[in-house]
Amino acid sequence: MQPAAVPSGAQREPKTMVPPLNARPAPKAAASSARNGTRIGNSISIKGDIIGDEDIYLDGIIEGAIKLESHTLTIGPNGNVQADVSARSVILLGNLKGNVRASGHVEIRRTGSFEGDILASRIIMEDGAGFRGSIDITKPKKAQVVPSRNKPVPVHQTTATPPKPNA
Amino acid sequence: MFKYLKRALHEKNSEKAPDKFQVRVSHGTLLDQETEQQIRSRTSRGLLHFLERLPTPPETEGLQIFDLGGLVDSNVHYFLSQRGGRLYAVDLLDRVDAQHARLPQWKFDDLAALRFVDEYLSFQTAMFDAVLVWDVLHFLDAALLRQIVAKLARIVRPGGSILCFFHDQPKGAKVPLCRYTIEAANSLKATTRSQRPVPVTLSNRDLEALFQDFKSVQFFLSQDSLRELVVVR
Repeated sequence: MQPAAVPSGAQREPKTMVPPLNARPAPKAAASSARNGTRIGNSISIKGDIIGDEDIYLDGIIEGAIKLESHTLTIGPNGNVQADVSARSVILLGNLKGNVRASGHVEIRRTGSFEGDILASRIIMEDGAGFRGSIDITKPKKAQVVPSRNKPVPVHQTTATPPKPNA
Repeated sequence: MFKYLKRALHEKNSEKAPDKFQVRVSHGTLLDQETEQQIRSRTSRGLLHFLERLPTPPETEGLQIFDLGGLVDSNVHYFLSQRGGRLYAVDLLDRVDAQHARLPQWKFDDLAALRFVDEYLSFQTAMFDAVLVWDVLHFLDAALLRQIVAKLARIVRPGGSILCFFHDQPKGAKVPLCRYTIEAANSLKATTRSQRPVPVTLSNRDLEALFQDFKSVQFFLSQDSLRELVVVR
């Protein structure tokens, strides 16, 4: 069924989706990231790899691997993820089992539960968050000093001594 | 008392507390109105000695610490940000409670304890430089306590140390199970999680026998009936 034509300048009304029973509502702050990226609802189940170039809000069941190199992964309160994750930042409100590699921070909220290893530049844990595994903090690489081309190179002057004549 | 009130209000304000936040202070113990948890600061000589045994930067490369009491955000930052290395964690009592919740009548015998240890403490020999046990061990059944201490003797490297607390109360007495946050090198913040009965009475002699496979056991007594032990592998 084709959607009705919308006059130019008018905004299309968002569809109302009825969440399944027992689903926990997503916190506003975490759900806001879904507006800018992709939202996978709590009725969705995915087995496979998720590779993307935008923020993702996951509230379903995921099994596989998740790669969002320069974006944020948010796992909602109903999310149940068994995957290795590679992202800029990870915000966990649900369950995550797997290894996490984040160039930014990993945040485990009060309702979140994590099992695996974390490699991140910063970690934030709320009281009550579940954790089992290890944490490794990546240290920022020291900036290498590159000599400037405009910088004058000192000239060392040496006094040349004439060779001694052979005896 | 005013210092506790000021600190609590500052912490709560930074967390955007509700308008009707109230703090009850009783005998130097803060009571969080929202969570009804008791929070108190306590001096810890055991912690001081434990931390003194740890390497300091830049020699913390490869440092591996294990926390059996679960992770607390502040402790993560205290160790990883200030000292570096890697921090492992498992909330052991939470796992024990989950087991009992699944099978209410079930008790840990030697075989069950061995299986539990294999599942949650499966690490390489001599892997850890230090282990934070807090008061977890004193809430375990005898069989599980023996197996976990035996496992710690294998996974802590020679010279590594363990910090553990044991209550001074006899079997059956209810004591607070706390979450400990490191405030300073000799100071802990203890937040009561629940009241639990002590399953077994442990005298100092019992504790020395328990850690007989270790090199040394140092006792530190405190005013709040908590025995602090620094055990060296």
